[in-house]
Amino acid sequence: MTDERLLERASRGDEAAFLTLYEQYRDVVFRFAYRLLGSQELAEDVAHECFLSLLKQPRRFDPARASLKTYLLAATRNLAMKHFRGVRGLDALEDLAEEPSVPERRGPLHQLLDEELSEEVRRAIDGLPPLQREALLLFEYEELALSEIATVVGADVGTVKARLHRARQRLKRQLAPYFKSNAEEAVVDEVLK
Amino acid sequence: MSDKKDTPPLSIYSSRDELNDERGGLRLDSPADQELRNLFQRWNAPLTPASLDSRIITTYRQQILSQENRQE
Repeated sequence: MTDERLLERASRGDEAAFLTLYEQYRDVVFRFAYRLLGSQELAEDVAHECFLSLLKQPRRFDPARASLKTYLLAATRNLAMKHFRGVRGLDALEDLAEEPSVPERRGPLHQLLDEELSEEVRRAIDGLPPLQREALLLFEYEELALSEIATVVGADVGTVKARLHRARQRLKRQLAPYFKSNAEEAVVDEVLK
Repeated sequence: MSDKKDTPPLSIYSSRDELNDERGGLRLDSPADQELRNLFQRWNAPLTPASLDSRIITTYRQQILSQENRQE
C-alpha cells in the first residue's frame, strides 16, 4: 500500500495504518532532529510535532511533489529552524562569524577511543552554520540526493552543493588531526620521542 | 531512555563513481573526502526513545476522537 493510501486511512481512524507509517519514518525523523538540535529531548518534541502536523493536515502532503520521507524531513527541518531562530537569531543560519577553533590536539593514543572521536565529529558538525549542517546531515547520514535535499530545505540544487562544499571544507580543516593518515604519523612521532 | 546506539544508514558505496553518479554529481573522491566520510560514521544517533512512541499513539487517538466528536 502506498504512503498516500496509508495516510488517508490513518486520517480516517485506521490506527494500524498510522502505526505502519509512523514505524516506517519515526527513526529517520528522530535521528535527523537529534543531529540538527543536539538534544534528545528537543528531538523528541520536534518529532512529535512533526507527526502531529501530518495528522492534523494530511492533505498538505502532495505525493506528486515529494515522497513522504522528504515531506517529513522538510517538516522536521522547519520545526528545528523555528528553534534556531528563537535561540540564535536569523543571521546565524547561513554563516557564523567565527569558525570554531580547531579542537585541541590530544595525544594520539586517545584518538583510539571511539567515544572521544565520535564526540569530536559531533562537535565539529554541531559547529557548522545551520544551513550547512542540515545539508550535510541529509547528504551524509540520510543519504538523500541533492535534488531531494533541495526540496527539503527549499533551495536550488546549486545552493545545496555550495553549502555542502563549504561544510566539507570547514570539517576537513577542523577534523584533519583525526584523519587516519595524520593519526598514524602522530603515533610514530610519539613512539620516536 | 535507552543508552543503546543505532547505526546510521551509511551505505558502503561500491565505488566512488557510484557515489558521484547517484547522489547528484558531487565529486567526493579525494583521500580527504574518504577520511571525512570515515569519520562521519563514528557519530551515531541514539535510538528513538520509547517515550516518543507512547506520546504519538496517545496524540493519534486523541486526534481521531476529537474528529469523531466534531462529526457527531
